[in-house]
Amino acid sequence: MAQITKDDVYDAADPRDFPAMLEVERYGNRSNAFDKIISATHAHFWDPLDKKYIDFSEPFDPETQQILPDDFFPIFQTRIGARMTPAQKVKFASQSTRWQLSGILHGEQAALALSASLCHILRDPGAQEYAANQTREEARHVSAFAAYIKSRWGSPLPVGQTLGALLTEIVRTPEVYKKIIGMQMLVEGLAMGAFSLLYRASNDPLLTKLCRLVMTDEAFHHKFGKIWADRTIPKLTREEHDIVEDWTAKCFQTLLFNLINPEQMQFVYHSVGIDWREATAAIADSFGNERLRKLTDRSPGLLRALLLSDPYRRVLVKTLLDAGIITDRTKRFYAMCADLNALRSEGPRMVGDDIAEEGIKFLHTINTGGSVLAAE
Amino acid sequence: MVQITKDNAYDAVAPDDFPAMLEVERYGRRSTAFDKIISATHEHFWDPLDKKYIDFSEPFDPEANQILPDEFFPVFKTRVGEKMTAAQKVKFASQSTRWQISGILHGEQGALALSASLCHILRDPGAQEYAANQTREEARHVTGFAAYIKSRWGSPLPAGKTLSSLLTEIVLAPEVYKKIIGMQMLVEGLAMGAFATLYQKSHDPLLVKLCQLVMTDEAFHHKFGKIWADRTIPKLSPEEHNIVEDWAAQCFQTLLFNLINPEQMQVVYDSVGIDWREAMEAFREAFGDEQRREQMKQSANIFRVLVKTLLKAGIITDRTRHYYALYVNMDELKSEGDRMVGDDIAEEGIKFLQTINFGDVSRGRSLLAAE
Repeated sequence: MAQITKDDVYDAADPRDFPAMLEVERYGNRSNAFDKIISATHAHFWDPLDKKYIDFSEPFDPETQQILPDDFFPIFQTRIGARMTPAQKVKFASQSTRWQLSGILHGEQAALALSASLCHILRDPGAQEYAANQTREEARHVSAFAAYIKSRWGSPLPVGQTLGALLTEIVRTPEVYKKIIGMQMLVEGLAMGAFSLLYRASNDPLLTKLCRLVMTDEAFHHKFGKIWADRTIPKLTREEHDIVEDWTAKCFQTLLFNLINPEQMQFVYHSVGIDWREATAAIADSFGNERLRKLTDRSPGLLRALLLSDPYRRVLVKTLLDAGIITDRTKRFYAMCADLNALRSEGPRMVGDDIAEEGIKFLHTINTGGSVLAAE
Repeated sequence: MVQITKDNAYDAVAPDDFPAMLEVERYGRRSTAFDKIISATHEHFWDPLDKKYIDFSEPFDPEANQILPDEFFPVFKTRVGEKMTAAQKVKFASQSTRWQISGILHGEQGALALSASLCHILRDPGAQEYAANQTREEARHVTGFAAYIKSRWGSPLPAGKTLSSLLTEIVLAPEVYKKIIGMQMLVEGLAMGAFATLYQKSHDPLLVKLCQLVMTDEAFHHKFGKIWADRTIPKLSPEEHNIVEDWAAQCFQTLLFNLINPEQMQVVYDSVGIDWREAMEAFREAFGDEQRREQMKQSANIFRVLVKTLLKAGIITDRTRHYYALYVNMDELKSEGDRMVGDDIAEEGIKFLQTINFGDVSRGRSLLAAE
């Protein structure tokens, strides 16, 4: 295990070395890099247990009405989709949405555990307070997504093997760079993209509201990853950059594979009597092209279909590109999914920032109760 | 390693068993036991980085004015104290206060790590959300006490070996009962007692304010331990009860030893040129004198909260009762009601925070009843 530490803010101890946290000098060496993010937590406080913020008893039946429109389900545009009955499509849409939101729930659970694990290794008291704060915010996301899934389907679907293995790896790893790239930049980046997409497309007002609330927190978590990258990437040696870039590409590939591979969604296909292998072949026939086929021989077309949907592309790839993680070594890999030149020319604002800002304004109204005292 | 689990809310897994947290059934089995405490967090929010809550630039020179009165320093009642000059006493009081507050800082750091470690082992999503919330609150305590110590002495003193070992043991322990008794009931109980005493006796208004702010959180953390005890202790087998009772006594002894043993405070005695061994000998002599012993018992008052907690929880039986009785009047404690020292201070603090946070003072009392 080797830490790649280029800024004292991210200096780390072994996860079991609690005595290191009692060192006298450590307490005084506090970075103020995260102070604003930490202090902002009160302004965007929300509570999934309090109906004044969100009410999970609001009805919506996903078995009679689609939460998400047809374009979320590329299988509908294949020969298999052409054969599906309207009832089958509604059922598939329901279970596929359940699967996606279950993936988000598992991701939030991992974010909770990962943030808590950062409390054990980050030496800087400011970074540690930030991590503690994120732990608390992730816990409310777990509560909220669990409540949403319960209200719509009763229970979540199991985590796919691919996603489960990645989440377990980044929670357990003692390396800060693996945790921050894996969770704060990639999983959180993917989440920001997913939430903004769901916020705009969902027919269920409860999901729209939930995504907006969660985004008020996630926008800050994503910034934590950005601050790490700004202070780390430019100082890496070539060898270190290769390590970081390869780890990033590995996580990126895993997340996308989880998102698009019908094998990971076996339960969903099974629920409408479709064999996932047949679905894979049908998707490849409908969307595939040679370049993507080289990337993965299982599910190339859907990869492109999903990646070319704006929020995912912009948040995920743009974060990595802006951070300077992507070089010529891996740019071809990402270029298959997004136009890197177009992304480079865009400003620093991220997809979802506007929604998060709107959400914070909404929370400010509730939290201050119109109080002049708190309204500064 | 053996878990002693009598209520599903405290069911636990191994610290590195993250896959257990992804089990589908787990998400739906959420206890509501902690929901009110979790929701209350927004009401008693405070931020040590924001001068609207507390301003660490408020001046006080502990080398010129004693933060704490003479009664906090039992050595003053011994022959060693009688020989000390006035200047030596002020210096000793300053460094001893620094040592005590450094111990609190290390305890808060332990509480932060321990709460985070509970997030890895508690299966119940409600208990886990509570632990995450406590992690966040402990982090602001670390920030608050580190800032206070910096403003008064520049830096904290190192943790004594005794305290450091206990904190490390409970942070790394995978057993829930060890964590909850060790931290939520004993360390937090001791802290509540200490904060209440410091709040009442400190001459430094900044320390008074800091203690009250921290107590607005700690009162809830202490309740988490109480809920565990209410749901666990009555269901223990005699063997399990012995394990729990012995562990509580062991933690109590360690905390007491840390607080009163001059060896743990060597750096403080060194600062005024007193050999800690001589101080220890002087204590032994003084403790043989009934009048002086009674005076010294006063300094053990901060243990009242935690002993009362253990007593009311049914953890202390005749097996260990005599041990606690050396320091605290057990009959008096038993006859007292359920209100804890510090509850009133915490409630006042919550009202203060509600004024800042919402401009509303009407909800303070009902919040602390959140369990």
